Amino acid sequence: MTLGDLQNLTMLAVARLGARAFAREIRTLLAEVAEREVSVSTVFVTLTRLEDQGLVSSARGETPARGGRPTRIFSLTDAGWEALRRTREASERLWSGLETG
Amino acid sequence: MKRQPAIQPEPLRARRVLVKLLPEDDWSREFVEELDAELERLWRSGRIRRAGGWYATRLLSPRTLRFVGMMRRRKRKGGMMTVGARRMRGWGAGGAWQDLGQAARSLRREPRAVLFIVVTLALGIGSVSAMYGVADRLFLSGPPHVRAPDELVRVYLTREDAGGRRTSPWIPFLTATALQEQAHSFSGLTLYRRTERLGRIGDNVSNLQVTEVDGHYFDVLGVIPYAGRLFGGQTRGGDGAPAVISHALAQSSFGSPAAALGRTIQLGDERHTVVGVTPGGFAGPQLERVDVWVPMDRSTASNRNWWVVGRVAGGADRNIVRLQTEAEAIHRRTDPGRFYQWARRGTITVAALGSDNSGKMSAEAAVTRLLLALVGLLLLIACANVVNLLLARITRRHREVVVRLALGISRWRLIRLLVFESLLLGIAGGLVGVLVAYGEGIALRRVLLPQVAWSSSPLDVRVLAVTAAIAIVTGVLLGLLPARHANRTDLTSGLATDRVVSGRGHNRMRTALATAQLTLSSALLVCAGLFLKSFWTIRTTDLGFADDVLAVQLRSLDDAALPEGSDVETNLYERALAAARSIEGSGRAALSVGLPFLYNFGMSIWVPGLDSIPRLPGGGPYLSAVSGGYFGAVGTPILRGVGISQGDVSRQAPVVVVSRSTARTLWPGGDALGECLRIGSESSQCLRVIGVAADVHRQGYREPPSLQIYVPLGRERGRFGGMALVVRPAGSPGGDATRLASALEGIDPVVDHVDVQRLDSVVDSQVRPWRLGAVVLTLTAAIALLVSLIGVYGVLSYGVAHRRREMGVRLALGATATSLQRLVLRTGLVSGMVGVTTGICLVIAASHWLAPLLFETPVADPLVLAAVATVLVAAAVAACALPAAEAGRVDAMACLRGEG
Repeated sequence: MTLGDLQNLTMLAVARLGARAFAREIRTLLAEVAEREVSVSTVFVTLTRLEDQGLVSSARGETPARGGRPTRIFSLTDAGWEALRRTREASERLWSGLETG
Repeated sequence: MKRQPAIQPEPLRARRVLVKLLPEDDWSREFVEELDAELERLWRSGRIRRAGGWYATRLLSPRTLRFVGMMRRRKRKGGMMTVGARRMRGWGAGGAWQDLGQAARSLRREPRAVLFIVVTLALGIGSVSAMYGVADRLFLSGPPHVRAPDELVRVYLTREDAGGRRTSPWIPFLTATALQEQAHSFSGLTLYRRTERLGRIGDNVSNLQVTEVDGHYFDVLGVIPYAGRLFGGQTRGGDGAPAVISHALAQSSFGSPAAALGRTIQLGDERHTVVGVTPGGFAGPQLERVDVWVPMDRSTASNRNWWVVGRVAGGADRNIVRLQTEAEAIHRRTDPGRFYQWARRGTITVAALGSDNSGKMSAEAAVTRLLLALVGLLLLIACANVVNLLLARITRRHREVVVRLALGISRWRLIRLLVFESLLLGIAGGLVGVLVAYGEGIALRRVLLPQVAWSSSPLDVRVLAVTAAIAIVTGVLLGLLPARHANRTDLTSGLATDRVVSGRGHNRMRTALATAQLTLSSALLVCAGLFLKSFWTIRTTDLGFADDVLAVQLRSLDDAALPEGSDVETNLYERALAAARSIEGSGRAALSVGLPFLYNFGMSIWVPGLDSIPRLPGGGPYLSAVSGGYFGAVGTPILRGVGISQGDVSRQAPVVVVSRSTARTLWPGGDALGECLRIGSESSQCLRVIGVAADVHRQGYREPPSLQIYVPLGRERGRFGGMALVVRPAGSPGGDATRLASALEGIDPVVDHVDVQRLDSVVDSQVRPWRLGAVVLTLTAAIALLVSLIGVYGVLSYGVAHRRREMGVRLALGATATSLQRLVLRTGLVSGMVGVTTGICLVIAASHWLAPLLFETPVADPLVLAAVATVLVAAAVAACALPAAEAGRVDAMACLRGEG
């Protein structure tokens, strides 16, 4: 399975954030690092769909960023890592030989 | 930048809706909190001014709706349910009650549309139910209170004579009793005859419908008395015999059935004791009202013809041939008696009980069957209209459907919701339809079928059950098409656009439905036109006498006090004639023995030079003895010569007036005036023809010509009797009938009752099928046309509203307002013309069934077809007028700016 653009970015954000991979942090990372402004709804829809597809899993946790309120902390599943890897390989195969300016 | 104060998102309505829609779990809560935080951030930065508006936009955004849908689906598959979801799931079969409630609330939001739909459906459903009630009595369920009516058959005698093949239910007594004794195929056979007799109950004297029956009658019919007992076996008839009376007579004359038992009623000079009362509505094997049943008088029974009804165990249909063969064999070997040798030339036939006097399905039943089918068309038209409205409604509710789907409602649930809405509409239509059925049922019974004995209210259990079934089936079927349309809604494109999506297929479907309505309406209109033409033709048929002539008979309970043909009778009627002339004028009253539609006397005649008298299809010769001024009084024109004068009567002059057909038949090519005619015997006095009168109908509207002869009153003496006074009132016949009756009542103590009736009222029953058809069909067609036109108007007006943008573009590209109007008018005109053509083709295709029900009117009657085509096309164009005017007002700039 290869991933859509937003799914790919979201999963990379989850992988990078590790134990801090909850919705607000992911959204902030997408905006700051990937320069991709997405709405709250979009992040939640994407995470929910990824979870439904078995690419990420979530567990209950807490974070000071949300004032100690409960939150879902996401992490990549094996299938998620595999999908991420395939997407990257596909991307690199397509990039190989191309000059970038 | 000015810093905004802190905001409290909890009270925002859109947020409350969102919280309610989402399941109660951490992830949903986190989503809402993130939205709150986002709102807070934007609010503080001053980027939004209306927090409620921002939340509403978030709520309605495709992504949010999708998230809500995902969460709800997640919870439905496993997980914990929210309070809202639990409420949605509801009680019983997947929240059916909740869906019903939701459907009701949704309908309540559009009261005007709902009212229109309910009224439309009520007219269709009510009309079908009312017609079903009539059909049920006339031919579906058989006579009321009779056990297993499908086992009953009637015996007929079919004869060939100059008038063609005739079938009648009258069977000579000896033949009937031979059948009763020898036929083994019948489990029971009964003889009866219906007469009208003068009766006295207490002080009240009136005409009663009396049925004389043999001892098997009540057994064969299997009727159970309402009160008292029935008679059977060898009960003696005549004076002192028991009588059984109808529930209605017991109620009106004695106050109650129980009070009638043991009381005495007088029929003519016979007294009878009431021993039993039949159940309400029981009329024996036929439809017409019966007041009294008495045992047959065996001393005179053999001098009369009888009606014969038999019961066949196991049903009549399968055994008709066997029954007929056996009955015919018995008829062949039975001598019907000296005066009934004519019957030997006939053959016995057997037919089901629902048949009329000639063994065929009665005209009323046949017309009712057609009407039932045609009011079914009205229901179809109403349904097509309602489907169109529901389709328009579902198109308007496109956004709602999309949101529901996005929120996770299953497709099945969506279909169920829409079907529930139409089901509620169907049930409401059925409930109002019950009122329509009641009103129409009462009107049909009282005005159009007064002769039928009705057993129950127009709303009996069967009619109510049929109404309920039609309402429910209609309701469910109505919802299927809009549900199919909603089910095809594409979620992705639906969420992406704010515009109402309505495909070309959808519009085509609505136009096709409107055209179908016009087709069915035009078929109904053509049928109504054909029945109106039939009714008009029959009403304008020249019967040979004026249509307001009254026949007056002076009647005594004691036959011996007023013997027919006696001086007492002549004297009494002459006094009555003088009284009538003093009221109405001298030229407007006369006496007659032998009157059309009342009494016809057949006599043998001889004409010098003719070996035998030629026969006419209508039979004859029929003789009437008339007083002076008779032809003027009844309005029968004298075509040549003169009529019979009072001088001819006084002198008993040897003169005769013949009808035109008689003159042409007896003296073809010559002049009848002055010719000689002998009556009764070859050696009798020669009567000179002094006049030729117009032909007169004797029995009905459809009648071939017959030989008719008039002699001066008095010349019938010793041959036949039964006088009547004929009066043509100067004023309205209704009022004069009452005035005449009261003037003549005290003329002599011997007169117990003055019977006044319009001469053509006897044939009124023959007009009923066409009157029934004309009235019911005209009303049905008018309603259908109205409903269809509203349908056409709705479709076009919706089309104009929907195509405003396109019309704006057309205007911008150079089209004129007139051309847009023409576009709309053309659509209506094409629908109208297609509807008319198809409707007419449908009727012509059905002419095999329709033609026998019409009176001298071809199915493809050009006048009717042209009138219907003109009315329908004109009406269709009129229905387009408002939408066309609307199209003419389209503002190109406004439309292009998106404001139109």
